Amino acid sequence: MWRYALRRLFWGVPTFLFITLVTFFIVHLGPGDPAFVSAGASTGSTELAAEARARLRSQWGLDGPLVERYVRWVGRCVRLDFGRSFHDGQSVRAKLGERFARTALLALAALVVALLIAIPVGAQAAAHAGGWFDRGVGLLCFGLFAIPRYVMGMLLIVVVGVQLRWLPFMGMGSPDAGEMPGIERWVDVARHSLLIGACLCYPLAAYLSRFVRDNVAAVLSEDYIRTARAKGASRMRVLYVHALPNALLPLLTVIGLALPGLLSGAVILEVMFSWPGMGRLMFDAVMQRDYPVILGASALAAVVVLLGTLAVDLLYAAADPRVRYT
Amino acid sequence: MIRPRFAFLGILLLPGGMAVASAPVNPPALFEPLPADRARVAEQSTLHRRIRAEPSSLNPLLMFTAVDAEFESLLWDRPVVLDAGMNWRLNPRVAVDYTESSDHLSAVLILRSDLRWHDGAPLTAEDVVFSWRRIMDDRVVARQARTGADQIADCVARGPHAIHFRFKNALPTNPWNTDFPIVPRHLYGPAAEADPTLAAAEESVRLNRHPVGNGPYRFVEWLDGQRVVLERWEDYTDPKPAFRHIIFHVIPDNHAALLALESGHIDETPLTPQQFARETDGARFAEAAVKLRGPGWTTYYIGWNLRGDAPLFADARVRRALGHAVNKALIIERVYFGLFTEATGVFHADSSVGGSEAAGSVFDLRIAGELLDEAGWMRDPEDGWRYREIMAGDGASRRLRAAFTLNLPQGSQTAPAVAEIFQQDLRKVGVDMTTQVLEWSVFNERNFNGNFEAYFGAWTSGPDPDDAWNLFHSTARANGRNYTGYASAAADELLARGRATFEPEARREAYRGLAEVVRTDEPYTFLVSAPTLWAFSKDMRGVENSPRGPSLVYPGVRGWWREAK
Repeated sequence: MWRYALRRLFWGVPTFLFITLVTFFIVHLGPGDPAFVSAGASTGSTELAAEARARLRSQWGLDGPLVERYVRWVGRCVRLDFGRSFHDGQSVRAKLGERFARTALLALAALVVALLIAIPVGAQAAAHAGGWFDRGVGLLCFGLFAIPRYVMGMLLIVVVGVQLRWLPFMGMGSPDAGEMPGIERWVDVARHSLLIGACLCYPLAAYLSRFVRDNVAAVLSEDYIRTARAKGASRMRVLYVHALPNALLPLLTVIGLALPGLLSGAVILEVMFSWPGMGRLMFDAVMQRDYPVILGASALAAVVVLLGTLAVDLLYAAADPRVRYT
Repeated sequence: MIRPRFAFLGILLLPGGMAVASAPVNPPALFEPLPADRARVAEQSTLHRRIRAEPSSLNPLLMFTAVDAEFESLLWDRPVVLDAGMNWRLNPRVAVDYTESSDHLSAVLILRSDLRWHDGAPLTAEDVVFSWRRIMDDRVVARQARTGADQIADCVARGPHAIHFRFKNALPTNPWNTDFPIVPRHLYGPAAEADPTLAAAEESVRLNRHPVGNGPYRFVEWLDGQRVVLERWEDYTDPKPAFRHIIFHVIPDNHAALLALESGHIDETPLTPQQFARETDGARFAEAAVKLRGPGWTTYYIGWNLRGDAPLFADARVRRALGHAVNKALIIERVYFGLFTEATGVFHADSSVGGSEAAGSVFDLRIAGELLDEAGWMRDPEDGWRYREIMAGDGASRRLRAAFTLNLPQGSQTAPAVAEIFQQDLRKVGVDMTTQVLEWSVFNERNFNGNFEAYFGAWTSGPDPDDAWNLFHSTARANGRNYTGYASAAADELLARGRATFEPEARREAYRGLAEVVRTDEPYTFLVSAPTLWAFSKDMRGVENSPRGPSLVYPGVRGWWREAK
């Protein structure tokens, strides 16, 4: 297993280089000049503006051959130095660290809640396959899955945030959060994250419920389940001890595939809820042609995908003794 | 009787509250000035403002966006200010005297002797001189600050509180050319020695995010992506602003901002035309807020490429024909909900050089057709489009169809609708227009490089008509914002006359002449003038509208207040 993991990590390096190389070229060859975004045309004279742009390009290292620039960027990446933002000069590592933490907090919480809902609901639906509960849950899941997240977001803001005033819907914390003691501050953050978290959670819960339901239903028809029943195991024991663990194995793969998307942030939701996460950071960086931030975020996403899929594969092997990697 | 458990459904059935109570527009209480009796004022309250995006920098030398300007007006005081009537005047809080020489080539500005920065250090003439030298340093990207400051040939301190300016030319705009941002030399001087750009090194970046100003508010914190907090500087008097704190919330989405206002999270937000007309008439809005509507000096237009890349626009008759095909009344009614007005040409009607006549192009498809016929663009009876034989560079003639692409900026909610109305009317006169939506930075770059056929744009007139130089003078084709490439000896002469003339009536005559020349040549088709549309919480007072909106003039936000409960 360790050899497998090391081999995967080893092959992850060229994969990472390929992803970042393609991203680097797309970003640098795409339309829009970051120096123009920053220096523009109105510094009094076009000659000066042109000089200012040329100086910025040189300062930002944009005036050499592309391949050379890429190699320099990779060299800095290895030292976890992603450079400084073209837009505000801040360290890209610091910006990414802050934003990623906020998005990860939200994404992981949404995932955990989705699983806490999907597993029991899916299992019960499978246990009563064809019955009113199964059909009702199925209808609800398909219905929820069909609602776009931004529509649900607006509905939650209007009803829960504005009309009922049950929860805040703007930003990550109250204006006076800085003065709150530790636990109160966390509660404040939690309250601010509930509505946007719900928008991230519900389509995932709907999809995973159906996934769990179908897998459990398939497992319940296996011989060993019939044996367990014949041996006098209760319905609950058959479902939760014998069937569910085996049915959940494929769920690991689904989670592994969903995680990168969750951790990249959801731009529309973050804009609607003014949540300062990775989605908004990336969107603003693209609009501003902030190459260091775009490349840093892409590198981070690549690492998350590679490590995420490796973790899922290793968990799979740990959970299922029949799976052995060589 | 509705059972309690179903009562909540009533909330869902009341979309934004039914239109039972309309929010007042321009209620008198909104404009009540800050009272002398400060006991009426809630002096410990917080003003929650909305900004669409984060500031680009809190270094006033580097600032250039409208969002940046919101902070600049609160964190710093300048010797010259612009009031709500769009008049420049000396700021008595900073300067005691400004005297110009008789030949208008030099001036002396005297500062008050008791000026301080927020960190307690004295503000002296050396700070002014240092700031000007930084602005004029080519290594500093002072894209906004340099405008006007570049008309100063030299600037030296004559003692701790006197600055001597020497101007490059004798211009009536020289007094406000001395209106440039001032930064503390004792902080930015060492930073500039290490990093002349003031934007690259760690210390420069720190200063750019933790500014030290001299205005009524000082910086507290900037939470990335969330908010910027300012607090009242208690040492600032004359006059002391009302709010203890001002918190700028970053809310990119207009819908979310309106909902935030209605739920009391913020105290003000600009409104789109649709929001003003259709989304603020419900009970929920009326309970929480009021609306402001006032004249603005933002003009929307279509710019035609006159650089030779689009043969269709080479003839002024064609451009005038296209102008006659714009149904402005319909556009105002359908797209702008009747809130905008027809543009009055280069200068707004309310400006010192504005005229009351319309921009000239009345909607008349018959006149449009006649002008196109006159210019040689004849309709083909088979397909209905207009064509003309054009001589190509190789001497061969080719048959060109009257067709062009109108570039639209991404993110504009109204430009596509305006284009659609225009497109339908152009089709009736045999001209084919297609549209292309471009992402903002690409849109700007293409305009700058002249890489377009026509584009939909907007500009906001400044307080002085000399701003028109940057748009219409032939040197501004390669040296400013004259993206269309317009070049007219008559326009150049009038602009030069207006720039150099001190006598107000002669200046006005020159600029009215310019407006007439531009109306005839029609390098732009002026469409509509946009008003100021804003929403405020019901308890807001002290607001004063200006053509730049309620906040970007003096005293602006400093004069806002809330009644003490």
